[in-house]
Amino acid sequence: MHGLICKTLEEFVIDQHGPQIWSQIRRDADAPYGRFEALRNYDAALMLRLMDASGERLNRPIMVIFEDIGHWICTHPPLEQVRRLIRFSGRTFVDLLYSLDELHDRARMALPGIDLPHFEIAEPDPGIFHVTSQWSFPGAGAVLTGSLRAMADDYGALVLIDADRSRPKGDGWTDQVTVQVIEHAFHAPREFTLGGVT
Amino acid sequence: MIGIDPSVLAKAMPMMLLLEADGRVSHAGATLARIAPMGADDGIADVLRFVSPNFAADMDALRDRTDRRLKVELLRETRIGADERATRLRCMAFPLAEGRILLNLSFSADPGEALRRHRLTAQDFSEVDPTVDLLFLKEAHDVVLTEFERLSDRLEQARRTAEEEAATDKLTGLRNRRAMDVYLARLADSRKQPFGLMHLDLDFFKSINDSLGHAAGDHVLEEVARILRAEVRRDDMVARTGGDEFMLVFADCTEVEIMRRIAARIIGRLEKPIDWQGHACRISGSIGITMSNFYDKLDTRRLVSDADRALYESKRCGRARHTVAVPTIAGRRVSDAPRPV
Repeated sequence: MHGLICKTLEEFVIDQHGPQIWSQIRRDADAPYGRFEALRNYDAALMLRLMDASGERLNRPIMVIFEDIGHWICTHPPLEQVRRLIRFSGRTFVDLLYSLDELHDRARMALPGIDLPHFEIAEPDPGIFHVTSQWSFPGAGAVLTGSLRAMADDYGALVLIDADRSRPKGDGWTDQVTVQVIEHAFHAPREFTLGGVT
Repeated sequence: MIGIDPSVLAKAMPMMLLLEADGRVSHAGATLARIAPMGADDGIADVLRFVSPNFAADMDALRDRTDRRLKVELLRETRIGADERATRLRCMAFPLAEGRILLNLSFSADPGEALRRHRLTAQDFSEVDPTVDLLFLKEAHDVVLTEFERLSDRLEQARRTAEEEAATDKLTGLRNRRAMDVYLARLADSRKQPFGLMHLDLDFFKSINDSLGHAAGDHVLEEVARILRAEVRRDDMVARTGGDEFMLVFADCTEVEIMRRIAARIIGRLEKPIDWQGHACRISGSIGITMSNFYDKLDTRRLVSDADRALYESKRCGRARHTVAVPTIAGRRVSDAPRPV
């Protein structure tokens, strides 16, 4: 399990619920002492224990927490760079949806060794998109749902998003997320210049 | 032969310039026109400067150079700050029918600055232009590098803490035996600085541990550490090298009389009763002293063992005193008499 993913859960819990709760979760999950390092690898079983422990301590289904994490990584100001990286996917929200099948490879290019979900996109009816994920963990659909909600806002699009429960498939898990794009330009998008901010 | 409407060309290649046979710029790609606005009567020499290779901007000169990459600057580029250079672009010239030339331009290795300067967005690039992916990669790379820098800072901090802990006596906060060995080895290596070495062993300490317990003993040791720290200068080295043993190094010290005075003062202060929960703990100290300038050849092991011998001389003669070691000369051990305080 790439440390970046463990670290994301850690930073989210600390930011939203405080360091004490995170210490409890870490103890519950029998995690090693200290903070997670984004550039190290961790045991996948540890991540599963942390997910269970987080659900228990925060008293919410882990998939609801994952959806919040998806939204948080796109909107939390110190993570502005993540939002920017996602905006490179395309000019419009629909471009972003159609670039999700490149996400796994894009992430690999930036950080070899990271295992992000594989996504496939279909548009069975105009304006209706089915995004199917395949990942070694459950919850890719939940995280994507949260992120797409945030990014729709960023692009100024009005959308409805629904996620199915994760189902086991092959060695991992699959999810399906349905996105209905109601209005492409519902409000003005947030600014995005390619050269970055100086 | 295919015909393309110039307006389609301008859309497919947003960084192109179409030059007529007489050198007039008849069409410009949208992005290029945004960076450097051009008028209908502009000629090639009004718009471009060829910098590398450097040659005059005319059509014949350009026709001779359609086989290689050229570097150009746009003469009408906007938004250039006072101390800034014009953006340098790469360009390739393609001869067309009727003497026209198509110039296709692109940004150079790091397009970041030009993009910031002209506030370009994905809309300013062709959908299939990999420049946007290059920029994605550059930003992702920055994120990863920043994280590596942070990681490296944290590791450095952890290393320093570990080093500090490894060199510190936990109870008293003084340096420990290991730190003293390293320090002496370093002094010996430098061979320049003279120094004085003092070895202190507490007297009657064991009876405090035995009668009042280890907590009282620990309290006394902390007090002793406080006294020793107060009696030395900031750059002197004080270490707890054993249960009730201490070593002190006085850097840059050549006067044995100064060492004697300090030893006497330390013993005087140690003999003041130390309070422990209403009990007056009474201790004293025996000290052995040696100086680096007693020796022709600096061997720190020998200095330590001489200071140690002098310390036991103090013990033998009734404790609560200091002794200055005189190193063995020609096989004969010379030592001045211990002085009671």
